[in-house]
Amino acid sequence: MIRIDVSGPRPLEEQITLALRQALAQGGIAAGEELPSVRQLAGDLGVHWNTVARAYRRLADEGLVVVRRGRGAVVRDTPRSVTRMTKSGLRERFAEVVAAGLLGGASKKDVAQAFAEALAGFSERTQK
Amino acid sequence: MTSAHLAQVAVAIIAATAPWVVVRIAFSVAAGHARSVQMSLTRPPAMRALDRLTMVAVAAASVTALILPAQSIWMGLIDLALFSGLAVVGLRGLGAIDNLSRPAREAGTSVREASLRPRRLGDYVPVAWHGAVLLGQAAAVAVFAWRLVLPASDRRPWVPILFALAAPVFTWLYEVWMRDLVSGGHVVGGDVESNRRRRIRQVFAAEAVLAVVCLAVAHALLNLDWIRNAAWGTGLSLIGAVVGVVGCALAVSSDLARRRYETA
Repeated sequence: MIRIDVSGPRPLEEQITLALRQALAQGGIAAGEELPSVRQLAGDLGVHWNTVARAYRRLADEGLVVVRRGRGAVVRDTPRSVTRMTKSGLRERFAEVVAAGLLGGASKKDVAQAFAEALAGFSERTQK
Repeated sequence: MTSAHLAQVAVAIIAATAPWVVVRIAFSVAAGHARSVQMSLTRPPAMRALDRLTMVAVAAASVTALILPAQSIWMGLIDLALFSGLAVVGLRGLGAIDNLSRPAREAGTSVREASLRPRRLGDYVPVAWHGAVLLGQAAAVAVFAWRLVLPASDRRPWVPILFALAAPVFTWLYEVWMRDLVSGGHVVGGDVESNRRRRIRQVFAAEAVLAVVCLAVAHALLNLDWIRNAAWGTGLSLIGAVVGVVGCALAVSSDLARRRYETA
């Protein structure tokens, strides 16, 4: 399942892309599996079909799925983001999240726990 | 009164009441759905106007059909004019029902979930059943076309042709409806998947019944001896017409019994 919030601050396309990326990373969709059709996902989420189509195209540009005209999107057999993440890149991303958490009133312990819980949701095979 | 005159009256009544039947069925479907989500739906003023106009039209059409000679071309034109005029009023009624039922059909929740499992028609209607209905229909239409080209005396082909053509039109409408149910959102609480399966199978059953009735009437009427079996032919035509009107009404109401997220 994926979840979006239409009244949230993030654009819908970004929320859908992020949710699908997370589902892929967590092993929720296996390699070679078909994603729901644009129409089905747009209808289920109550968004315009073009929003879902753009999200699928973003994932295709990132090398995670293959979009086949008239046949929907399929997860690549070996999904890998074309934007490889270096250690320093990762550190920068985490630093942003940690800063936001600490400024929002969370303690270092809370931030570490939240990080551990989020990481636990991802399957081993995606770490290779 | 001859059976031809009776048929003329019956056709006039069907022509005058068809828009009213469609709107009443649409309202029943919308009201039933609203009740299922604990909302109520009041009859819009446009429906009351249609009720009054239909009563007047039925009375006027029946009297005119009795006065004019049987199979009068003028009666056909009057039927068409009454149907068209009442259809315009009926469309306003349908629009009003659509607006009033929107709160029961659209949930404005901000947090929304969706499954990532693709859905296909074959998941809800076995391919064998689907294939059997479509192939059976294709065969019946092919046999009808073959019978049509065979020579026959005193044939009245237009009504049977109309029914034979109506079958694939209904099939197309209902196939689109089923595919819309498969891919469209459905948010009502409870077991969404079993609700979806039940609805799709109901639509499939209706599609099969419409195809069978239309093609059966078409075949029965094709080489009918209208001189000896006028009452039988008229009765079959009227049954076919009533089934067709109900089939149209259900197709028109297709979007009134669903609940999904409001499009953001």
